[in-house]
Amino acid sequence: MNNLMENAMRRSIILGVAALLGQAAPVAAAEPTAAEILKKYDDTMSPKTFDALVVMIAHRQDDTTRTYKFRVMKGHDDKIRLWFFEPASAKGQEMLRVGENMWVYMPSLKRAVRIASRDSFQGGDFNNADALRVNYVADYTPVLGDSGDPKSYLLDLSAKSKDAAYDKVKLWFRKGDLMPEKAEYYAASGKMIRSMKFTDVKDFRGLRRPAHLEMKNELAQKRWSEMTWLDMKLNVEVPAQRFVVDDLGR
Amino acid sequence: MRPLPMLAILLVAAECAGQESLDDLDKAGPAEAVTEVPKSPTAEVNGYLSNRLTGTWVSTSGPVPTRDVPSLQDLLEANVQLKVRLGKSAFAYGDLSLLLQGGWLYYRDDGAGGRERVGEHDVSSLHPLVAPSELYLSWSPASWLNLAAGKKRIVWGSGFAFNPTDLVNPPKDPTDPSFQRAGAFLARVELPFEKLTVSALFVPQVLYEKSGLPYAMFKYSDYPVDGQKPPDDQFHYLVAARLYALVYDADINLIYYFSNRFRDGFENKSRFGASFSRYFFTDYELHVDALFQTGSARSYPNHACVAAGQGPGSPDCAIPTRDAASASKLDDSAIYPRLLVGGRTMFKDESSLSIEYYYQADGFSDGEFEDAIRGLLAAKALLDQGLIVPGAGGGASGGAAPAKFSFDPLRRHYLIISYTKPKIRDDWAVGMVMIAGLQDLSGLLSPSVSWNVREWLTLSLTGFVPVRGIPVGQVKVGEESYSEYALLPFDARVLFEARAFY
Repeated sequence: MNNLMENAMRRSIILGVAALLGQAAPVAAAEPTAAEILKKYDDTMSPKTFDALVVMIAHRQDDTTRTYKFRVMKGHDDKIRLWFFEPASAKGQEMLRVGENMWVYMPSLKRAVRIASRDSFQGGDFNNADALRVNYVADYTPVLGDSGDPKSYLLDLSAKSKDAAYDKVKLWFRKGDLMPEKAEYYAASGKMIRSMKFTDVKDFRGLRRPAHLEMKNELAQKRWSEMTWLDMKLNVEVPAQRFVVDDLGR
Repeated sequence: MRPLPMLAILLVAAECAGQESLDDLDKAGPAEAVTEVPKSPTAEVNGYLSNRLTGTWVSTSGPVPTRDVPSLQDLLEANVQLKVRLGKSAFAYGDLSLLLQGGWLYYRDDGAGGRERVGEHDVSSLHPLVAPSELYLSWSPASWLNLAAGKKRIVWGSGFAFNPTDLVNPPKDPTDPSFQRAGAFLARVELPFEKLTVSALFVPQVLYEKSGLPYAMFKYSDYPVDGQKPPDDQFHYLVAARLYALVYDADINLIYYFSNRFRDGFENKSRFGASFSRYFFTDYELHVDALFQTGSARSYPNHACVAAGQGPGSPDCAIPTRDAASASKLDDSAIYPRLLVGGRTMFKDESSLSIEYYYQADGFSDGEFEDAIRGLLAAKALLDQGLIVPGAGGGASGGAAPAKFSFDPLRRHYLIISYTKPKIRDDWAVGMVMIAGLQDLSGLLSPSVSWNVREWLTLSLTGFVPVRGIPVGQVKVGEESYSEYALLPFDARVLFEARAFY
């Protein structure tokens, strides 16, 4: 009797689960929403906490380059701290972002100076927000656009406030794994000022993300910058005091 | 340092370069977030080698003696900045420069409206110097506690070119605020929390030093030094307490100072400082840096001693070199604030502009400035007669590298404007700094051009041109009119610097 009841229960559970799966299947196959794609972008490009080693090479008009090597660490509440190791003239410089606030510590000044999110990052083609403020869900309102390519999604992003790095952004994603492929960045006037290519998807201790970012300055031909992520650790625990202005330079 | 330990540190430092992964970095880089803690001390070394060649068109006609102002000067600086990590929570830091200098071609007023050559002679300010800008130990026994002791530059004020709240460090050079890195010998306890920091500071005054190295601080010895009797038997120190808070996206500092005969005549003196810095409308930074005190330790000219028709021999001026000036407002109960308000922004072409207005209530009035000019002219005459020996008395220089330009404001209202435009051609940048005294519209213009030849090499050319010909608010002494920047002992100065980083 018990066995009969158990079998009946098992069947009804299996049928119930099958029914649920049957209902869920069309949902899983549905296109992701703009908000979901943007959240995936943030999770890929700037996970909750991490510790990374990055090299930025700025290519200039005269075909020469400048190389910067820095360590970037992200703690809870979207706080970011950054240390420069190279070149020798920038060694000892540090950057910090807490909320809307950004500072650069200059060893020659022996103090931290406030900087704006749209100021150039070490004179290259990235701006400070590109390095210190990758929180697109908080900064932009996304709308799905027509990518013109069945293998890609396109997001049209509008800045929620002037603290965002750009006024408008177009972001293309690969369908399937939602890896960012390229981006275009626009001023309020509608003029494209920068464009980016995301390449060389790598596995960093469990996180797959593009390891190479190539930012082209659309206002100055021949000028572009590339950022290569050499290494990355996830889920690091950093004391809150590391994200305090007075800790810069220590 | 003996060669062997130095070599060991340099070898470790060499290992720190060329990190390709975080694990490489964990052996040497900024600690804390990293899980692995280095077992032996690790070091980071950088620095630069710099040569500054300065050409000066000396103005001998002004009230300031020019006997020791070289027309041609060269300064060679070898700098090393060494950070040795001592485990997870401590490090030692040194920023040391060795300076070799030379000066040539001296001129002075010939008394007939022209100038005459002065023979090559010893100038104490051009002696070789060891400048330990910083040399300290920092220890964080807990994440909320940091202890530091040694020589360190701590700047709490938000001013870009000048910090009125800074009573501790050698002042900045407004034409190049990044140039001055020297600090003061001190001990600091700091409690950093997430949105506020509490700091306490004790700073004993360096009383005697030789070639940048101190050998007496806090209290004069009981015995004569260099043949000089100790001037007093007081303790010379400053203590400070400071609260920093990040409030509504603004940096706010509140500072309390208590000092006794610390580089001035104030005894048991309380002073209050405050600073503010915040971005408005995304791109515009606004800052305020203010100090409030009663009285002033500034030396004011004694009118009875320097005014026309009186002078040496009058009842109030028995010994001119002693009686011509005194800190006459030391015990004044009036509040004399010093206030700097400024803003900074970066434009789309990456050029940046900083504008700052500075007010000091204890600056000279027109009458006091006129008396000061009379006093200077009298002193210059005494110097020419050999009655004052230049360089006598000396005094601590703070072990700082010589500044390109010293901002020592005499009057009350100033405007400092700084503009920099990078990338006029990839590695070329131009800049202009203007310091203007608003009471007589005199000032200093400092244009500059720099070229980053390589990542490790920068060449720069900087000019210094006093503007003193605008006949507004000048004071008249005898037949001559004087403005504040007429006191600069040169008509033009050009400085060429080559700096190689390593």
